[in-house]
Amino acid sequence: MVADNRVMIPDTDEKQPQMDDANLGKKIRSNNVSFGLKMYTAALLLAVTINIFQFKVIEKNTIDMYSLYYSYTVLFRYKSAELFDVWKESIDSTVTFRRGIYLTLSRTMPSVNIVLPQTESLDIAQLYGLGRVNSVKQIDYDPHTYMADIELSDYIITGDKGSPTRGPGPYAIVAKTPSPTTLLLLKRDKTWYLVDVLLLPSQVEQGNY
Amino acid sequence: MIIELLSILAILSGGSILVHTAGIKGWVTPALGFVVGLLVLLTCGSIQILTGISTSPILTLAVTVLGPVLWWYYCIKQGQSVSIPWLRVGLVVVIVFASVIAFRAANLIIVSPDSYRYLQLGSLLESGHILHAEPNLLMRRQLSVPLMHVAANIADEFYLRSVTPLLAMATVMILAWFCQQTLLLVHGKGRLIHFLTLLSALLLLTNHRFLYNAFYINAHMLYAVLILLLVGCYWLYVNNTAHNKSALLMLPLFIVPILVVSRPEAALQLGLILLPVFVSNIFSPRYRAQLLLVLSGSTIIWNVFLWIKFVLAGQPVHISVVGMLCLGLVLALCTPLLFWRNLDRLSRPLLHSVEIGLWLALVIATLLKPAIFFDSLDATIDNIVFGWGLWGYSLILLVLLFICCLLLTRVENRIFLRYPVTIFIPFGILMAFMREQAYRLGFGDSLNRMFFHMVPLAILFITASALTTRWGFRSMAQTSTVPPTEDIQ
Repeated sequence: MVADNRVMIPDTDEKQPQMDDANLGKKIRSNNVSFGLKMYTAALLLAVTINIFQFKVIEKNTIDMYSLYYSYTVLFRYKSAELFDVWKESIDSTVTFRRGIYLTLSRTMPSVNIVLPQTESLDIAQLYGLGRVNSVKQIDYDPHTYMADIELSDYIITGDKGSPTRGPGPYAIVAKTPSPTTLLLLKRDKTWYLVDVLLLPSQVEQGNY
Repeated sequence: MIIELLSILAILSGGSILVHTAGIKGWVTPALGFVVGLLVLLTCGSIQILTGISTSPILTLAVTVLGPVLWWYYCIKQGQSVSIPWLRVGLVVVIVFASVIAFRAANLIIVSPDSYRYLQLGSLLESGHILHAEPNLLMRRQLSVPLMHVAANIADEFYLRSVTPLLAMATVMILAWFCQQTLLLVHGKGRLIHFLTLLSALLLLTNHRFLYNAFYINAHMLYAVLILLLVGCYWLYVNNTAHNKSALLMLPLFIVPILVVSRPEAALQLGLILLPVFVSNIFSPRYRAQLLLVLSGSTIIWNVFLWIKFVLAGQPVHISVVGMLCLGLVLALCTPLLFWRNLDRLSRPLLHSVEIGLWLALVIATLLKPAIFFDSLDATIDNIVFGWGLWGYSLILLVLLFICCLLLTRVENRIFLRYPVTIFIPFGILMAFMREQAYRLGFGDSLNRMFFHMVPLAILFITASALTTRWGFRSMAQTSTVPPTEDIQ
């Protein structure tokens, strides 16, 4: 049941003034409200006008700030499928994160099976995310092996370029075909690569992944 | 395109049916319907995640439509008149279709590193791999934004391009509606109302950060509109407008849990925002207890879920999860206090003392860690006043208007609108101490982005000031001496 009677919570301690002359008081109040409303409306109008006329200033500031801080600006024009490019752009500029690899997986190798070395502490869950991989397994193998004979320049390589303080990023990717079925995480020269198992020596290729 | 159109239509139709059956009719129905539809979608999605049911977006969308349709059928069976204005529905559908196509073609987006994390969670949800989500990622990014965009993954996309712009459009319409309903309280129907309503809507629409957030993959627009809706419902209720009072009281009960899973600090902020409601005898003790239990219950459930995630991942439970869980328990234990008869007598001193207490806490925190405060203050002034936050003059103008209205006008019950905004200042700065990191220079700073949460509500406050019966520093309001209300069931 809903009641109509209300107790108002005052936002002030002040009390209502006593008017000696009710009519005079009413007239003064009416003039006051009318004047106040006019000023109030003018202030709102002025605020909206200033808001409209300042847009160019903001755009200019954004361009100035673009080179100083973050790699995002007022509005981007990108397709969802091109999120990878946005991300790559951010990797290539001042913002560096380690998730380029997941977007690469999403774009070029959806439903791939990833095999990771058990010895490494890696954020496996994130590979399920934007990567949309089919499965992620951890098995016991040495990630430093098998990389010697692979010519990296033949393949797509991307990932985290790192930062001056942190050094080169830990991830890069090598893809033989647009849709490899199984990728093994390997390491050469302090850099990680996800390698199509078809590129690897037969004993690895025949492994039970 | 098809998936996006169907998703938007599901959200819009589900929500609009609920709004229509609740008796809220007119031009605001599609806007309110869109937000309510999102609430249904997010509620279903959250339940799916928390209970371990399939997180498939198809199931979420199906429940979002079928739930309200069943409710509509139930209302008809109960003899309620809920006929559908088919012509208007057709018009709205055409406009929404055109908007979705236009937003997809325009293809405007703002992304930041946070956006990728939201979308990563969305992808995990769609692929059924949410159990593999990093506990830290879930704790920081929460559920709302991933759930909003999850359907895009069905079409091999990462986000729905039109959902945030449409939410922004709905925000403007809802603000305009609240302003119109507020102005109707005193000024009657006339040109002045239309003009002031238009100005209020324009004040939001021309705000630079509004445009920014309208295309930003983040929770800010959703959070801002939900806070506006939450406080706005209570504002209309306490002013005794002609709307369905049950609906005005029910809607906040659905908004609160979604806010809790939208931002990490939400439970704490909601406790403060809703304080005027908790201590006001305009609302029955039973209703206030329900509201507090919803807030505390959703906080406890969400943080227990996070706690389990941390334990299963073999990681130490984050301090903020422990803190929020304690907060939820304390709030739940406070429920019997709402039935205390003398609470309404203490309402004003209690509200003021909490506000003063927050400022005192800020002073003490500053004395303990002055660097955080002064670095934050420095960065915030640079962001807002000197343009680094990319607000232009928008926020300064809004703050000036707000202060002028606060000082020069007096409006009954305005504390429901004023309190959440003014309490945000100390609360926002205290957040820097909680995360033990000062706010930064630049438009990507957290506080700089969080200011937007209060913008629509601040505009409603400014509009509500037009109800004043006297302008000037000694303006006064009549204080009703009407006896306490009956219980609101």
